[in-house]
Amino acid sequence: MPIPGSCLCGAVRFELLAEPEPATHCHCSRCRKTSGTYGSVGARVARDDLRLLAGEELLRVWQADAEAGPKVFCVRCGSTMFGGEWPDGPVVKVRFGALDADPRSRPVRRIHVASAAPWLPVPDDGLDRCDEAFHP
Amino acid sequence: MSARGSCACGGVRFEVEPPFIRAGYCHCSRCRKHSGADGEAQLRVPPGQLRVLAGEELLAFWEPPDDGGRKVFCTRCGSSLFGSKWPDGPTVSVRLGAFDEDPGIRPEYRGWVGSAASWLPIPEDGLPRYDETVPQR
Repeated sequence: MPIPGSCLCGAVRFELLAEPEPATHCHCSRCRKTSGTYGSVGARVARDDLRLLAGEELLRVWQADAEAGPKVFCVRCGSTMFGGEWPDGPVVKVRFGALDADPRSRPVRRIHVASAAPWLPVPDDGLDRCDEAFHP
Repeated sequence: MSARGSCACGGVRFEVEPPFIRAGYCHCSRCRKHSGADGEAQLRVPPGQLRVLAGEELLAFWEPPDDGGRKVFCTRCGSSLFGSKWPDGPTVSVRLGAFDEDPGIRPEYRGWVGSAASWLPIPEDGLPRYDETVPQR
């Protein structure tokens, strides 16, 4: 069964054809600013397993520089949706807030915790932590 | 001392002057979708205490079909910046993720936890929780 997702205004709709990888919370300043809260939460999924169903023309991509991951959002409602090697890479990231059903994958790790803002404390929830990026 | 903030691309800059009314998390489905995370984190102030210093032309908002809050964001980078009925209404909300300087206040509660997504567990951090809206103080 595909896992459905959409933006807040409903114009962008997509589905995941496979379960995403275990998820990661990212506390870097770019994820914090694009989300408006402590950071982002999402997981990698093969690009071939993410099918856009509607609203592709509303997706806008912002990238700080060539090294930085793209931040993909709906320009009508501002919903933060995708990242990773968007749009054509073999692996993209999907923000879990954009999903409309349980992806079955859960957050297992918090990364870039050294960049966390003191006014948005990192919860002591037992998840693995990395000061910067995670390198398996 | 006012606290400054900005969007991720730096096009929008603002400052907020204390005192702040309150700060907390909202886990409603709209804040969840807008953030891409488990909801938004924000403080509230009277609108006169929030000044947009640059990039006002980059701001847009999504207006819900009911009386709910607007979602104000930068159209260049998608950063979530303000809420409530910005720039109108008796109070506006400013996303805590948008600050570049410590505003001094910390989240004091978690609202709308009854709407939280099962796949995004809410941290057990001891903050008071409300199934729906947070009682006005």
